[in-house]
Amino acid sequence: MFEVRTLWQKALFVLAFVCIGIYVFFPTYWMVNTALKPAQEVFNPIPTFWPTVISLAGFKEVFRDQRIWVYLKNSLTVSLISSGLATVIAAYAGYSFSKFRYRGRKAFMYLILTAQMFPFVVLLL
Amino acid sequence: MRSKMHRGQRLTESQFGFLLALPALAVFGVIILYPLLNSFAMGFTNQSLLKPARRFVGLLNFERIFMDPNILQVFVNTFVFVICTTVLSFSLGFIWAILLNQGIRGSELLRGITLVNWIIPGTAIGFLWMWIFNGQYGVLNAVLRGLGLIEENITWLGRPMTAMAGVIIARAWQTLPWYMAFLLAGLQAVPFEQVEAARIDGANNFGVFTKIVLPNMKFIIFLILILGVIGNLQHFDIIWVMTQGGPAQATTTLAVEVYRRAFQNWELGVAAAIGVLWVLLISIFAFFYIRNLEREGQ
Repeated sequence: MFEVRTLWQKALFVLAFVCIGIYVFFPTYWMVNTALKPAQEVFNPIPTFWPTVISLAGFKEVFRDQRIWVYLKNSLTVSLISSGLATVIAAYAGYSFSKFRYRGRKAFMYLILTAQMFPFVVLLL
Repeated sequence: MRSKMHRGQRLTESQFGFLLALPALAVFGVIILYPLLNSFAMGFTNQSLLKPARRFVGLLNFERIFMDPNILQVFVNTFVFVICTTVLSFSLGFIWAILLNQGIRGSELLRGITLVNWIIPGTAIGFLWMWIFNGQYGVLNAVLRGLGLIEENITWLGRPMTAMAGVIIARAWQTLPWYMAFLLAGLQAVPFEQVEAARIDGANNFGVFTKIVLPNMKFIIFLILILGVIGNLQHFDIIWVMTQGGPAQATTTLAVEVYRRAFQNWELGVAAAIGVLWVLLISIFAFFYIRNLEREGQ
């Protein structure tokens, strides 16, 4: 869509690409990198950008604690059931709003559309 | 169409249509509308989890909020946080979308990996950035020291200004892929003939961007900016994990303030009153969002 021909344009393209690329990808890399380091290397005041020794101790620790399975099960239960229910209910509502014309249809539609806009902390009170 | 038969009773077409929407409306009523109205009502009482009974106190909570010298800072913080995260994330997401739309090799793969930021849970993102900004072991300090930009380590999240910058950077990092995805779709919908015609007429990159790309993407840009602002106005988890609103209220936004008042000080009435103001603030943006959808729909 945009032309990258002159040296100046190429330089700008590469500079923007590298800068945003580092911002977008580096933190995720850092998370993985830290996860694979042995504990004493994690708490090294001069961080290593590439793990010298790959250690799976962190992961072993996570899975040795049996509660991780409970957490995984809870997360899956909540996400699967809520998305399943939401899809079914929303499918009926969506069909109703698009196919039929009745009084209050538009108002209901916008009311439901605003549902995600209310801060959930306020709903918890 | 013939009217539907239902248990021997005649339902008109529109009644049947309404019936289909009923479960959604019921769920909306029970989990959104009722708690919301309840919170609104609570804003006019002195309800507290430390006292058993609640009493109607009129506008006392609102009076207390506006007499509180700290509340102004909370509003300013919210304003700074929302504007900076939205602008930073939107503009970097837009540039990133343009770069990935240039058709260089590997673009599709990079698009896919970019979306990873969006699916990492907010609490994990908070801890990740906290670790990057850490004053002792943080990689940011190490890099800046290595480049000779700073002499000594800085506790980034321990100073008011840098703590705010820190949560803004973390939140912008989380939402960047979201803007990128929408803007990429928008860029790909820009008619190629128009770009080509502009080129033949001698337009440069800047001309193509301002005269062809922006006008074509006006609607999508407006929509994601409003949704972005609403999302940032509500944002809670990254701030709470990284700074808990500190140091000394420097990163306390409305979301954090309501939570703190309600679940740490147990002043439900005051928290609900702040919540009322907060919802009113969001409603302004929601109004523009819906009006725009309406206009586009016609």
